[in-house]
Amino acid sequence: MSARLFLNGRIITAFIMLLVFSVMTIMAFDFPAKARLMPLMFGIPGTIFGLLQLLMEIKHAMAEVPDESAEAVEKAKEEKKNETQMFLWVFLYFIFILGFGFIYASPFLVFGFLFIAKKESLKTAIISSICTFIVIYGVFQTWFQIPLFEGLIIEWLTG
Amino acid sequence: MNVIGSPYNMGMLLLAVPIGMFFGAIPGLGGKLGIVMMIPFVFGMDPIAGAIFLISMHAVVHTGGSVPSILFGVPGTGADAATVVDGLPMTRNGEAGRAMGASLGASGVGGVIGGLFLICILPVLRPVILAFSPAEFFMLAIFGITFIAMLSGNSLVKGLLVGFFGLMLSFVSLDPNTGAERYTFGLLFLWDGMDIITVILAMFAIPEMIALGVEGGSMSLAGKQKGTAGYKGVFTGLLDVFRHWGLTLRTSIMGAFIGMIPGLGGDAATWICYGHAIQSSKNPEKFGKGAVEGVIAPETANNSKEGGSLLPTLFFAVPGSSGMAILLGAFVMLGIQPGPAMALTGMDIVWTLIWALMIANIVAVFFFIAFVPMLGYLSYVRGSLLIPFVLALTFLGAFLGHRSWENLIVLFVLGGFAYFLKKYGWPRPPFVIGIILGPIAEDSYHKAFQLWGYEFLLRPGALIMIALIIGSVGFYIWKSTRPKKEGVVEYVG
Repeated sequence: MSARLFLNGRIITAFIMLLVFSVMTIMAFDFPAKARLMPLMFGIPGTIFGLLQLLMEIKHAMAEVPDESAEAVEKAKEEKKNETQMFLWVFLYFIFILGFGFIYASPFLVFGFLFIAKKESLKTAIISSICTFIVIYGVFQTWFQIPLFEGLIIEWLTG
Repeated sequence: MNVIGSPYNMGMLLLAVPIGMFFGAIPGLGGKLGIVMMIPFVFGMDPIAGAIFLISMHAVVHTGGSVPSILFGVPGTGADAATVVDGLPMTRNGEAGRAMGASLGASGVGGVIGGLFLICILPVLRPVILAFSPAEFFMLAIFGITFIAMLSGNSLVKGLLVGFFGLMLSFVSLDPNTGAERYTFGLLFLWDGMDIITVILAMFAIPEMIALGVEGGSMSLAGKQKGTAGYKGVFTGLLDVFRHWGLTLRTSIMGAFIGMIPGLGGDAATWICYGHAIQSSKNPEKFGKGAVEGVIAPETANNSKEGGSLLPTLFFAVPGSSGMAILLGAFVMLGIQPGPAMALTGMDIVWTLIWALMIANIVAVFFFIAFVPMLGYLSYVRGSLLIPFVLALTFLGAFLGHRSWENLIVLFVLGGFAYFLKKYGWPRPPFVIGIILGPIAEDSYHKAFQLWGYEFLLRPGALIMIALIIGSVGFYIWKSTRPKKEGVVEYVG
């Protein structure tokens, strides 16, 4: 029971919200009087509401009877797998763009997502990747002359 | 006559409209960047033609901005985020065409009414603008914040928490009064506060794309045959604007009025008008699930506020919004000197700009109507094909906001958290209200307090606003407690 409560996404979300409000409210007490007025005005009720919501979620989770039918278990498993895959890809977007910048990382990521994650055809993945490069490099960098982020690794390598 | 009578000026207007819509449709670009990039193009041009080009481009930015908001839940600016709340559910219900038709019609009508409002208010402009002091600003911000409760649906505590979360994040910056660092952890990029575009993309675009990847299928959950992506849907949406003529008229005027007040910010206008649409609706339970009124209200306000914000820009050289501040600079570069002297010597330019503003909004409707059905069919494209492009554009949009790579970290962390907010039914729209109105409320409170102490609450304008707040909240509570035909109220998470 306690493990199920601990791993419940609703409870974790409410707990994070409570944590954010508590930490921000505690930090606000160290600000000068004028600077802390508004953060405390919303932080204190936010902490109280956060606690209330957390208690409601715990109560709800304790009263909940989990659906343990094979179909529901399979559905939950599939959802978890898809969620993990999507989070992994968003993380890859973040890390590759941070490291290699938009021009190099974006076409590569579009290709990877389509070909590896979604099993699209090689032709679709290559065409999409080229289109992305044209838009990012051709339109933004060359035509609009917007200096795009080059990536921390590329910046470090090129000095 | 300067606009219609001259083929050259009309040509400039026709050229500016698609460019403005393009800048609006790409997250992170927006109208401000559009004007900045087009200044070299108009430099040295005839001042009237250059001004027509820039104002026409700026006037229709939000018309284009509604497209990614409705189709993918990716708002380009804070003002466009209000359109996501009902626009995206309409797309999910297979009504992308109708949503875009309504958005187009509302944008066009809003822009025209904004222009007409401008004409009507010209004689009484000065006393109206001067009537707004920090006390009234503060109460207007509080008025907007009360809409958090209305946008919370059946989960009031969750809604309040998300709204307060937005408010708390809006305080991340150097305190404007004391200069003290607040929640910046010594990071320089946080000194100016969180970038609005980044946090809005994190709250809406990232969760929507993760959810689309998890669920599979396309943005539209309805089959193609059931959907209304074609012309039929677009015209239904256009007619909806006139079917809800009262709302269209009210939100257009409200948008223009709020746009006229320097310092309040145009983003606030769309959310206040959205809140008003919920408040005045006979069926508030439909909002967040795909109510066409939820698209009409923010879109009319989005375009009409540009008319309103043109007034202080031209007559007092006080820009009504950040976009207008750049436009003001561009006007000066063109040789047009905004200021009180405009009323005496520059009225022909003022009238030209008002007409350009209205005609550009009408042209945008006719121009875009040809493309809308085609865009509507994007909602039936497989999610797996859309996600990688939208994700790339979302990251790009976050970077372009402040040209700071640290925004990518904010986007990733906040976006991941926002997915769970969506998954577990936490309403996200209150967050945007909080982050937009938080700094306005804080800044105006301190100014009002310094000027009048707590007596600022007794100023006539503030008292009127307090009465308005009590009246609107009371009216909403009265309406909410009445027995409803449909039981469950569920808002977009």
